Formats: sequence, C-alpha cells, structure tokens
Amino acid sequence: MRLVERYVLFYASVIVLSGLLLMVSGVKGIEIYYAVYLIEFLVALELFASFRQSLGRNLRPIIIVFLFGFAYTVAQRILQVLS
Amino acid sequence: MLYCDQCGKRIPDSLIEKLGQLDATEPHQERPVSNTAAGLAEAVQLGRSSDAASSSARVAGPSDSSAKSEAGTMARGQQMHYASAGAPPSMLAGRQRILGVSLVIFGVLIAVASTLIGADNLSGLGLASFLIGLLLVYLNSRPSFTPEVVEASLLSSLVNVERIMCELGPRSKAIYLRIADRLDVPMVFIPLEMNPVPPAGLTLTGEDRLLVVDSGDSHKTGLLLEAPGASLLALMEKELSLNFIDLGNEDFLNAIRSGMVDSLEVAAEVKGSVTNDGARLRIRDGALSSLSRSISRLAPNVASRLGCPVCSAAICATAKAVKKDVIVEEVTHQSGVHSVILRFGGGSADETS
Repeated sequence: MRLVERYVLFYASVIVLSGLLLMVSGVKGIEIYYAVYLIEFLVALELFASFRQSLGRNLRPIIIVFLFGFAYTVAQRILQVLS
Repeated sequence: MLYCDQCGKRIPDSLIEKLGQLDATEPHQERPVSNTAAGLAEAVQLGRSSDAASSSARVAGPSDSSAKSEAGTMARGQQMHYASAGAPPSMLAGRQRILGVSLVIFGVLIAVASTLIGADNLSGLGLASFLIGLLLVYLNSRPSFTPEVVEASLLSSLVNVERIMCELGPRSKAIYLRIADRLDVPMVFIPLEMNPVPPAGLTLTGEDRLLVVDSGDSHKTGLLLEAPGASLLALMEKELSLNFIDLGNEDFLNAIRSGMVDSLEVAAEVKGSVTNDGARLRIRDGALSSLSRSISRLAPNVASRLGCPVCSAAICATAKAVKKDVIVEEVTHQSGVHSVILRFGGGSADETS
C-alpha cells in the first residue's frame, strides 16, 4: 500500500473512531468535532510527513481550507459571545 | 527505424514486416539470434523475449529508440501486471474519485438529515465522511505517474550511457568518488585502464570533464559520469530532510531503508552490512522492478558496473556517509533482488547491520 493511501486510511480510521467516541459522549457542537478532526489531521500529517516531506507540501491547500473553516467557527463563536 | 550493426544500413520496414509474418506462421522456437540485420529484425518481432535477442539488438544504428522498441515488451508487461493486479491505475484512480465524491455527498446528506431530525451528534459523523471524501478527491486530482512512464523516460538515456561504456570502457571496476562537501553531486569514475586493484583515493575533485586524461597515471584516465542514482539520492534526502554526509556508519543503512522503502517506495526491502573494508547491500525490488529488469537486459554494463538508478542511489548514499571512495566490486540483479558488494578505498568503518 502506498504511503498516501496508508495516510488516508489511518486518518479515516482515527476520525471515525473519535467521531463515534464524541457522539457516545454526547457532544453536540459541530465545531468541537471540527476542531478534533483538524487536530487529528495535522498530527497524522506530521507523523507521515516525516517519511515524505512532499506529502506535507501536497496537502497544504487542504490545510489552508481546514484552517479557514476553523477560523470561521472561531469567528462565529466570538460573535456569539459578544452578542 | 533500425540499422544493421555490421554494414550500418537501414533495415527496410518491409523486411521487418515480412520477417514478422514468417515468424507468425512458423511455430515459435528458442533459437540464437545472430548479430545481423535479420537477427535484429527477428529480435524486434519476437518482442525481445530473450536476453540474447536484446543484447544483439543493442548495437543498433544512431536513431534506434530503445523506448520505442521496448514499447511492445512494456505494453505486454503492463497487461500482465494489470491482469494480476485486477485493474489498471487509471481505473483505480477513477474508483477512488467515485468513492471520494460519494463520501462527500453522504456526509452532506447526513449533516442535512441530522439538522432536520434534530440529532445534532450525527452531524459529527457526517463531517467526518465529508472530510475523508474531500481528501480522497483532492489526492486523486494530483498527477501521478505509473512506473512504466518512469521507465520509458529513463531508459533511453541509460542506453546511451551503455553505448558510451561499450565504446570506450574496458571491463574495469567503477569507483564512486568520495563526497567531501554536502552540495557535491555524486560522481562515478570508470577507468579506461583495466584495474583489478583500483587506486585508493582518487583526487578528481573539481573535474568537470566527461573524459579525463592523465598522462602520468593511466589509472586516472577514464570516464567521469554523474552517478545514475544521484538525482534519486537528492530526492531521497529532500523527502527525508536529511543529508547523508551528516550520518555515521551506523545510521546510514536505516536512512537508506526509510528513504527507499517508506518514502520513495522504490524498494520493498533494504538489508545490508558494513565492515571496515566495505559494504554489502541487498535491495528487494519495489515499484520500479520493471525498470531494473529492463536496464539489466538493455544496458547490462550500466547495471553490472554502475548499478541501476536504485542501486546507484544506495551506493551514492554509502559513499556520502562513509566519506570515502567506493569501489563497486559486484552488482547483480536477479529475481527482483539487487545485490551490491562494495569496497571502500581505505580508512575505517565500524561493523553495522
């Protein structure tokens, strides 16, 4: 199995497991799921990119999209607190 | 376009076709192929199925394109590979894309459904499905190349090196020169003088000529080439973000293993041992197995004296790590395994395996 495929499989297993765990724990806020998935994505990437730096470079656009999403949820929460 | 290696004349296409038709009507038998125009044509028509055919066909005319003549063999090899693997890479990529798009749609549907029925905690799983799908679609949209494309792009240049070696070099042992600086490109020296015992410590740093002539020392007259695996080593170092020159004798074998097996996936397994006098490496073929096979068939001198790009990258890494000249004693490519025996040009190295 190629490194990229291993990475996708690893990440998929991790987020499905953590998603189920959060669901069982009764977490309802989508932004919490999002933050957990983002952290897992970055940790998995760091683990796999030690073997191949180009994997990190290739996934940079996805990281940027993820971070924009995160910034959006944070901004929403800030507005919610302020109002 | 093919040329007779004896008279140098072009072999007419009609003759090749005629021979092909004759060959198709006659039952296929193993027979030696002579080094003539007819033999050459026959080798082409037989798809260079035997080593004898390919070695005789190698000394063709100036416009003989190895990639072109190899296309039949490669296509056949590809078909066999797909037959055993189940589906060609493009079909697998298509399936991955479909899976990715399905996961994205599934994720969106779950998120919408969870909002509608008020089950908020389900939206987390919907988000997970959406993200996995997005990742699959994105990774699939990046260009990737099959080993056959890599093989086709490399083979002609290596066959040219083979022709230069056949023309100029006797069967002397190649020497990978010591790398003193981290920015140095690994170079390999092939003495034109027969060298049963090559000199320890060549001082060829700063040389940028292809043909080095030293009237004082015949051992220092020869071909100076960039190692076939130099670029592969550079890529390996870039991917691992390390430089082999910084590694000790204990660490470089592990670094070669990570670089070739985990990072570049050009090998399935790397084993080796290092002693004071030399090193032995055993590399099991990975994705580029067909390239190694083609090189050992079409460029036997390059394969056995310099090593195929995979072996050569490992030798370059060794030369860089031990910081000594490395003499290639033996390189063999048999049944998917590359065996490399190296001797160091003096100095000391600790036993490692």
